Amino acid sequence: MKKEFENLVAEHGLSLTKLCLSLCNNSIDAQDLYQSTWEKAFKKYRLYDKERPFEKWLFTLCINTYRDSLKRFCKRRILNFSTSEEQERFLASIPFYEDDKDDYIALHSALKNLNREHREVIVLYYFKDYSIDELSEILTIPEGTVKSRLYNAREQLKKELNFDE
Amino acid sequence: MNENKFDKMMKSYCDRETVAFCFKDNKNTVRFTSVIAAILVLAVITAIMIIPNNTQNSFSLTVAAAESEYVGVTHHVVVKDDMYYVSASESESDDISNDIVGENSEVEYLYTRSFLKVIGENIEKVRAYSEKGNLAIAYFAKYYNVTDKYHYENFPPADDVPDSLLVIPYVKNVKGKFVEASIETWEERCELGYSCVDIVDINRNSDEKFISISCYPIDENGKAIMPEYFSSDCNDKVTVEVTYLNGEVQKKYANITFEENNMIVDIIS
Repeated sequence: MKKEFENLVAEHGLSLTKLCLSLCNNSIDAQDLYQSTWEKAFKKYRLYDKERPFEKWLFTLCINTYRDSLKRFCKRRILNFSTSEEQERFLASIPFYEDDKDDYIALHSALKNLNREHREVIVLYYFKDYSIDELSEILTIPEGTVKSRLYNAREQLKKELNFDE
Repeated sequence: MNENKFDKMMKSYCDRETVAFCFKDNKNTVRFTSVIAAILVLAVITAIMIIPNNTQNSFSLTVAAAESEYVGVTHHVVVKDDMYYVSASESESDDISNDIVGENSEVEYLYTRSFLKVIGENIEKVRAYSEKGNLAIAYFAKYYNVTDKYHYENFPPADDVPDSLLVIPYVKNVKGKFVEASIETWEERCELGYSCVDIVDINRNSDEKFISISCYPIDENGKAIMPEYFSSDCNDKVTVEVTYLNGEVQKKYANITFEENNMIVDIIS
């Protein structure tokens, strides 16, 4: 099983990394989320329904782990890694960041201000172009809730980023 | 910014070019993404096999922390009879095995950031958290055919812990029993003056070997409930879910008691 699992890590590791980076505000927390997600996936692999696409199952685990970590972090004192150097390093991995630096910094800041529910749905929506029903499956929420959260997230971001009318 | 630009930027933000956070493999070169600005902690583990016919294996953890006095200190880990014992030593040549392979050994640990590593046939997770001061913690977990063993000793009092640091309270080996609690469970339930506790092992003397345990307290009707906290002097009967190495999950009853910031969970049935 270990070899099979290692192959999955090789195949899906990069995708998961991107998701973790988009969900978290810094690469340190993203690494922890990445590790915790794979740890859970390894432990629960016997429960994985092989009829279902592995990536979606993995992303669901990741989202759930992300939610749990936010619940924990709101109650504990945490090490703050979000310095300006770390942020710069974090943003530098975005394609075209150098071309639109100010806009990306504004976007990053606006995304940080989203609550967990809005952040999850909008990151997944743009990350993999998932449909509403796919988002509903991964996030384990009704499709109507997905639509509503997506709409509200975009409205909040539009407002913060001063969208042109 | 208009909507088209926003869509493109969001797509770019989420689907960024990046190096995957890698597992470390002894056979391949590892690449980790760049980490840590405030306190830089880098842990490197190498596995060292000792005498082949000896049941002891050991490996070293060297931690470099920018603000820690433990820069360059090597922490030796000895595995004996499936138990991990960690000791800090400034010299790799120190013979520490006799000192630390004991039930009441005093050891010190260094925190570092967590990462997942694959060594040979085992997946090991090393998680520790950097801490300012004289104390550090590291723990090692194997999720492949052996039990998880952790040691935490000599934790500082809560008042000495800086506000910005992640704290894991220590769980002490008490009379041959190792104490365990889930970081995902107890951090919402334990009021020990710390934010959370972490998993060790339960009933070391038992033949049963556990991977992880989640604890749910039960009320007088035997129904599992999940209160916000356990007080530090509470003595409760709890329901625990025990996950065995073969993947089987069983609910069992356990008593929890607290002794000097140690939480002891005794499975009773």
